Amino acid sequence: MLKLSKYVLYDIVRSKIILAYTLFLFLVSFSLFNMEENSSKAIMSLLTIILIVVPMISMIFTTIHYYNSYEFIELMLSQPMSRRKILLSEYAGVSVSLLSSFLIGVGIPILVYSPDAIGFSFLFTGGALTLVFTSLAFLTSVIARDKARGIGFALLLWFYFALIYDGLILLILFTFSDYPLEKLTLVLTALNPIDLGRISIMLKMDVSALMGYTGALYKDFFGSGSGILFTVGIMFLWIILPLWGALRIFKKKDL
Amino acid sequence: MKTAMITALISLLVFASCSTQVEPFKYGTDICYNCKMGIIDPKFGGELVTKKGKNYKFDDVGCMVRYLKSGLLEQKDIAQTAVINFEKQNDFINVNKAIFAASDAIRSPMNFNAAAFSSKDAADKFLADKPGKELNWNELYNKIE
Amino acid sequence: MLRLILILPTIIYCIPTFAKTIVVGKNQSITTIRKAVEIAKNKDSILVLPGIYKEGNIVINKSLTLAGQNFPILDGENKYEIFTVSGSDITIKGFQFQNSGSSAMNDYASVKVIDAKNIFVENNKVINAYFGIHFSNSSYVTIRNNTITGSPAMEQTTGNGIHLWKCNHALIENNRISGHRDGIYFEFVTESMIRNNYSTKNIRYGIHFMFSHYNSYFDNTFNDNGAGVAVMYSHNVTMERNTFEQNWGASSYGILLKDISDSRIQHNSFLKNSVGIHMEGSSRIEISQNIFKENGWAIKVQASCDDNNFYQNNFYGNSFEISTNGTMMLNKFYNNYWDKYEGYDRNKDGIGDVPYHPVSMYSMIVEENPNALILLRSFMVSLLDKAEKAIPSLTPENLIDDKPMLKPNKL
Repeated sequence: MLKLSKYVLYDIVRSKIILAYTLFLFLVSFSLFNMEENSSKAIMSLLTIILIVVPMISMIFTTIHYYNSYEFIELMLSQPMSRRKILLSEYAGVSVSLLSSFLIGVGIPILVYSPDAIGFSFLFTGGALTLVFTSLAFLTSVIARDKARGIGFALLLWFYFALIYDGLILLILFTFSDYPLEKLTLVLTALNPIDLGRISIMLKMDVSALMGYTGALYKDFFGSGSGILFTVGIMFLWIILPLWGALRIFKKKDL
Repeated sequence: MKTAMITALISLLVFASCSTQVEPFKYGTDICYNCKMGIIDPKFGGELVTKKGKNYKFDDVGCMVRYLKSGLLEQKDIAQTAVINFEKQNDFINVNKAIFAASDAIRSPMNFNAAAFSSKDAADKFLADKPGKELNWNELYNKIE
Repeated sequence: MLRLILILPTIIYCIPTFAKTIVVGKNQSITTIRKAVEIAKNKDSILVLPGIYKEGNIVINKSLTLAGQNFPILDGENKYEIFTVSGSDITIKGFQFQNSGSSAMNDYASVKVIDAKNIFVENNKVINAYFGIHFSNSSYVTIRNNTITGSPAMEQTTGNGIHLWKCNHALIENNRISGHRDGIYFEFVTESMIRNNYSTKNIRYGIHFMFSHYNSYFDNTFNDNGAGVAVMYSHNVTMERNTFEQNWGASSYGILLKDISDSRIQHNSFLKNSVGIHMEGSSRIEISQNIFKENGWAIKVQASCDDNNFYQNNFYGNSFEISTNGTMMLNKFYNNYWDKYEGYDRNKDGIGDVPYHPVSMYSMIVEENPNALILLRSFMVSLLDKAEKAIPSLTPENLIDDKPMLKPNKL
């Protein structure tokens, strides 16, 4: 299994796309840290970019990779290896390469300019988002039959988490504005990994004061030990559940 | 399936969080809904809770009366109308059970100068050595313009 | 002879005014301030030598000058109000007041002045008091160079640093106030001036005006209070050259204006406040030549405000510039500098040719439904703002600066 992962990883690195991605992240973060007058402002701008780019690239790259290695996967299936192992090695290969891209591209600038609690939680969030959306992409790829549909599906899902979900929250907030919604918004935002990542970082920064009463409530919650555990737990579920679903479907699937 | 689940979840949360209890004041953090002043004097204040579970906090019973009179909130939507006991911080008394002492010896945050007590005895005792008079909720409500 | 007759009354009149100085100290014939006050006559001075005096409550109702040498300590033992003053022409200077008592019903203070005139309270230190210096029903009072330090541990049971009720012609300058409820509190105070004070870490406001007209405050610094200054139910208040910084928190402001009219806010700096100015029910206020930098909201103007003018202000790096909860706007904005302005200037007169809309779509949403703040900095919010900028539809169309400056105003 390890051998297979290694092979997948080698294959990905050779394609150079991942190198371009690393370089892109590196240049963006480096220039933001140089442009903005203080590191917290840079982190704020970087956050906006990362929250869009990381999920999108993770999903699209994973989907394309999956369909491109379709023949390879079929070949592997003819070998005495369980389907579970094959898919997991693919997952390991893709996620390790994307994760290291992120950790190198964004991690190095952060270690240089902002090696503090905010910086580390930023790296955690970015890393978790990479893994979450890689998992999700595996799920959609396994479900969809052809490449075009798979990419479309992946993009739609990305669009949903990055944009539509927040629109729905806004809709709910306005529809039920007569009710006390502080706790509801807390739960709803926690159910979207992108929102969860954004809020858990923002609450560590000065900007959280702008979030007013709701923000204060959030801060009480996310600032506590159980809040941190909760964030990590939800992210973990978002990684495990789609992957588990993908495995189940892949096992039964007629390839 | 997913939509159904989300809908179920939302309705559950909305109605679960629908408690109509008064919420204790967080002094130094909460602000008065009417005058926007920070709530800090533990002897005064009031709170409205709507039937849908929203809380409105006030730093002075006068601010609460003014807000009620503004008509922004309809009487039929209100589940609780409570005032702070002058003698005990964060102890809420239903307005209809409260006895108010109106006296110029009292300096309330918004200058309405009325204090709420849980019993007539307490108000009597308080007013024993001060000018002023006792009012019930309706009298106080009508007195404040 | 005639001359003598003329002079004589003057001499006679003068004799009793030869003021004497009574010295109070451990090794003096008089060891307590109470005794000194008792035997003193009008216009006498009392000099208090260094030491610790625990005398409970001392009532002063003669025209005296009480001066401390090297800050003698007057301790209220957490039970007593230390000085209770009334009368006229009284000076209290050079003392250290500490541990004056607190009471739920009485506003105990270190120095309480009632029904008085021509009072000076200067160069004192007040430590751990309920109310620091408390004046009521007085006129022509000066409170100068005092340091008033409360103990923030007491939270909601602390009183105000300097508290004035029904006073007029007060001058409050060069004081340093921290750890109280409101740094300086005015209720029914008129024609008074507050200048050069430093107010920090007070639980509620740096200065608080209630029903107080014709007052001015300038050159003060308000740093890290619950909120900077609250001006409520007053008119003709002048606010100039003050610095409001770091009033940062969920319900914090630089200035809170509520039912204010005919006032001026000029040449102030607002740095890093959650909200620079929050105004409600305010009319005829001139807000000009101020700097708003890196605030959450520079100015929140509620729909209940009218006839206010905002001009020649400079706005830099504020998350929200102007926000409002109404669609009608009865206030004027002109010649301000907005760092987010992207227009052009073809005739090179320094004024942009395209009007500037300082209200963003998201700020309108948040005003309507504060819970929506949870979407701050999300992708959807930035898209919404971009869309609204391209096709304005929800933001008030007459809330515009039609003469925005291309370069910051020189202040």
